[in-house]
Amino acid sequence: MIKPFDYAFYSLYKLYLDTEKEEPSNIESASYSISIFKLSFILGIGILTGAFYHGSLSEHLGISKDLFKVLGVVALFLYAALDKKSYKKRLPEIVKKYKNHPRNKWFKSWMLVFVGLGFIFIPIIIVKSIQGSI
Amino acid sequence: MKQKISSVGKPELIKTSTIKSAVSNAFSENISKKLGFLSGAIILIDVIDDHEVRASHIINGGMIIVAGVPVVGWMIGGSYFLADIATLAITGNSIGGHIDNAIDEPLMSWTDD
Repeated sequence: MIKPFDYAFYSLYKLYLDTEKEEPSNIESASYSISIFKLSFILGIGILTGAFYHGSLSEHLGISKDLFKVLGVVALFLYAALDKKSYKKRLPEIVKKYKNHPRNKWFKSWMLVFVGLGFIFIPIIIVKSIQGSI
Repeated sequence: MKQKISSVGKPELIKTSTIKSAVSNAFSENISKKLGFLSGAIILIDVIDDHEVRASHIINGGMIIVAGVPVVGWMIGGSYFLADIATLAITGNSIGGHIDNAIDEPLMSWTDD
């Protein structure tokens, strides 16, 4: 079964391979780009869940807004670092799995930009329409 | 960009690729990307916590994307960063903060408070 984020990573890695020389920094670049992609996904989830809560998350947790920001950024940074390590380790397996995947025929890397924007704007539209109908 | 005059009198421009290659990989490939991710993460947490997208989020997010473009983007991003710090030091509010105050309302909000 296809894993969407793994496939997105593969298409980004392939993009770097096609446009630049084969070098270790391609994995870094691809994993950095996939981290940004995942941030938009997390933002979408945050928008959807945040719509059902009154007040901010920091108030719910009983911590200051600045501390919440620092903790959040550290958590995301650690997650991205672990993610990069994981992709480095699993790269041969991912390449083998998706190299001849039928989706490669029509899926292009630039489409990920619209998928990322969709992660952000679709939850906003959903939340707005729910609030509008209430 | 710096211009230099060749021996035959024709001006030669220093290519941006020359500047890019002159900057070490450690900076261009690692630190700049990590800083970009860090800035994106701060914006994300701010948006999630406040339940709204303000003009400053869009401007700062746009600057992160622009700063990802080698050399020219670094110059624009760096200039914006310095201008932001200077504005904060002089007026007590960042460029984004001033724009937010001028617009007064968030661009998008999904809180029903």
